[in-house]
Amino acid sequence: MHSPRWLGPLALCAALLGCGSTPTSSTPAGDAAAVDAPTVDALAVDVATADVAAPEDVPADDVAAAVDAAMTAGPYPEGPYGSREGTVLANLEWEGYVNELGQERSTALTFGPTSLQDLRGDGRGYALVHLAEFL
Amino acid sequence: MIEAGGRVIQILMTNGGQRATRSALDAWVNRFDLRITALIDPAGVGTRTLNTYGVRESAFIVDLSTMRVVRRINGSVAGIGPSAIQQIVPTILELLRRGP
Repeated sequence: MHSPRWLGPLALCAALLGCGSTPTSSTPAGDAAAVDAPTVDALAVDVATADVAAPEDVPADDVAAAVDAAMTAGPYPEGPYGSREGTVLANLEWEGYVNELGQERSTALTFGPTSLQDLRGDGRGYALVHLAEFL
Repeated sequence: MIEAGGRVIQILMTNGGQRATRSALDAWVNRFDLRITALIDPAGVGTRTLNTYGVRESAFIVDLSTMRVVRRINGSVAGIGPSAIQQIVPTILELLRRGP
């Protein structure tokens, strides 16, 4: 006996994301708070230009390099590659929908190329990679 | 899991034994209202993911700093018993809770 093939993706969806749930609608209280909040323009009036100037002893190139270093994972680790525990998973290229926030159905996003290296982000944390087939 | 800092990547490797096409991926995503990264092999490479990573229904936890497979679970091809996803989610949540 074969179980329905849709159990895999459905379980993934339900376990990870709570798919199908609707976003919380805004409340009257939330709207009221928005009205009371000062506008950006009003706040900007109180900020002196000297307060936001960058320190003069930090070269702009160094700042840019530091930002880049913090946002990328570096080169993809070298092999040997494999898919068993303890091995380095090979860097493959794919196409499809990159949905990192999980806030909308993936087909609402742009279809395009990506790779495992692209999906590493800043190299922190863990990824769950799931292999599926449509039979 | 996404809120905990994890990344979820699903690869639709085949459709009817052939490389899955974009239309198959769209049908897959729309059918289950998937809100995760959903991918297929590009044209011209055949079923490369299947040939490289292995058969469904499998799930890996990958350490993004080293790209090493920390945990791999193979579910039942026939869909018998808990899926690989159901089995592996508690592990990745625990890893994310612990942090680096």
